[in-house]
Amino acid sequence: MPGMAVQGYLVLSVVLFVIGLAGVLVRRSPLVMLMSIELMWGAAGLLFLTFARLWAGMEGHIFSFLIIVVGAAEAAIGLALIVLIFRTRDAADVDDVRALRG
Amino acid sequence: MPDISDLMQIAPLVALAAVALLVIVVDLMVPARMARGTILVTAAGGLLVVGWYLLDLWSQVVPLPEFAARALAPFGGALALDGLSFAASALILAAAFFAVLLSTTEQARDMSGYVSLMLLAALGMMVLAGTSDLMVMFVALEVLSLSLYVLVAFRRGDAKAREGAFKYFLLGSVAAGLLLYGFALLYGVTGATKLAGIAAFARQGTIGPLYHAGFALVVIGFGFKLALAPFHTWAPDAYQGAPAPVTAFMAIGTKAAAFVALARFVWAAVPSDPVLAAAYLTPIGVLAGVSMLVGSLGALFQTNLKRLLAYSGVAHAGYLFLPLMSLTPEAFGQSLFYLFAYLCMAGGAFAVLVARSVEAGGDAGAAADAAELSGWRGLYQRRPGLALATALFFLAMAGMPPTAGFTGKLFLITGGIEARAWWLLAAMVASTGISAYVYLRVAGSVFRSPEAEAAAVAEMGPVPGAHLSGSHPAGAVGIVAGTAPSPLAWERVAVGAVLLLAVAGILLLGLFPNLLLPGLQGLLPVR
Repeated sequence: MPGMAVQGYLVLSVVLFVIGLAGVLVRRSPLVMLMSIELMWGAAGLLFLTFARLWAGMEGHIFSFLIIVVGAAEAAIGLALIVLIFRTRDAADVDDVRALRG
Repeated sequence: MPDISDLMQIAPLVALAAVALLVIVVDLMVPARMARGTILVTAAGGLLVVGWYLLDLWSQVVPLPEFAARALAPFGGALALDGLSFAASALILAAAFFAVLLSTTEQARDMSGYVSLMLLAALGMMVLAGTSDLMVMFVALEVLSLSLYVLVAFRRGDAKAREGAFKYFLLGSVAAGLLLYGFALLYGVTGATKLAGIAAFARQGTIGPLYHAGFALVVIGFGFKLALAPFHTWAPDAYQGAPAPVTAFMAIGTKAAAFVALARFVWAAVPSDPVLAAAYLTPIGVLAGVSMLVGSLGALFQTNLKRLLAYSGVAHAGYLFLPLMSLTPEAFGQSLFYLFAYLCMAGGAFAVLVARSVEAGGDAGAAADAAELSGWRGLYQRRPGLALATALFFLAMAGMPPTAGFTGKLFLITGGIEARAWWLLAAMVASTGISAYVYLRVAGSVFRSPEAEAAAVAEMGPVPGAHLSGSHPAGAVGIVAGTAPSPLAWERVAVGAVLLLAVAGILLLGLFPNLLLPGLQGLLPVR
């Protein structure tokens, strides 16, 4: 009965994940990269909810809540680092951040 | 339901979290003049208490019948309390203790935040090494990662620290995303977030493409955290940007915790079908082999000690996987033994680095200069003890007898032979050969005559700070009061204690490996 619906969510989750991964790899604006990472996390959360429905268990629900909570903390630290690094220089692009090499 | 006995079983974790909070309270209560010292003493004392709890608990649960079956699982199996988690926790606590002692030289403006984050990272590592539930694994991994992102960026006004932290954060978050997606796929296929459920599925269920994908994503995610090549690119930058004590802690603690967690996962999730098992283990072996080669080749041309140790850490992470190719409990003990040896070798090397930056003045610029290898020449003439310790640590990394590096490598190779991983053994021999050159170059350069250095100094003109004690003739007997901006004596005592502990550990484990090895074997059940 829920088979069809589950398949739809699965596909959506994979699409979101691939968009997120491609965004991190292709885009060079740190904010967009952070958003892409959040998209990847969100895709994983959606996948957990989908499978929680399939298995009719609570683990997936709990896991997706954990992803939301930890994701918020992660975003806070990421934004703080972005502010810290880009306030002191005119760079708006991660390719400009390259004092460390080798 | 959790009850009081569950809480007693996690006493070390609760105590560690309490110390992390206590440090912040202490900072608010004592006068600013004494705050730094009080915070560090609180943290170091707290770690000793946590270690005492750990050993006490260990001796209490070992005779329990359910522990003999290796199945003590407080909180409904969320945590796995077994010999493996105890051994890994002891290792992580030792690394944290080293890092706190080395932090006495750190001039962080917010000392309580710095120390508290370090203790929280240690908490995350201990939980990560002691859980068999994917949910707890994820949260623990993030507790340690988030703390470390901030710690790497902790030096105010240091552009390198910020850049290293940003790169670490970006790649670490992507890795966490991959890991999460892998967890989600495995949950979808097996219906379990506990490793026991996944293991049951891996023995009986039909393994499909979703399971393959989930396993691969989890391995890649852990590969990032362990800095396995080709996922190691963040490591040199983050290691260089971070304060040296944090670098030491990251290098040892994260490696140990992530390796134990990955080993637990691989233990459970590799299918029992021999063909499929080989197909699952071979890519991990390839990752390990590539790490060995990339790590040792990358270290060849480094002039900065932190970057050199980062690349050497990549190679060492690869070595750890050699015995794991056979998935026997004995093999895992060999990897753990090497982690203990690495604790002494890398901890000692970073302690030397910290000692040198104290000598050069102790501020951020001096610390950055101390990491440059060109300034290490002629160290023997100025500080013979420090130079001999340096040589010992790097000879140990190169695998020379009678050090722990030698016995550790010997056990790894034994494990590799038992696992019949011939090509991985070949990679390890090649990598050891290449990196022997790197380590011997460092070990040799400290004995070079100071005339060459004096000439170089004269050429460059008087350089303030970096060569201060080098060009000072009295530097040979240590720092004469007044030449350096007087680092407190107890800071040098703390760094010296780490150096002594590391030297003792290297020699003890090198000469008497049986002190430790039997206790590390058979920590995981036979598959």
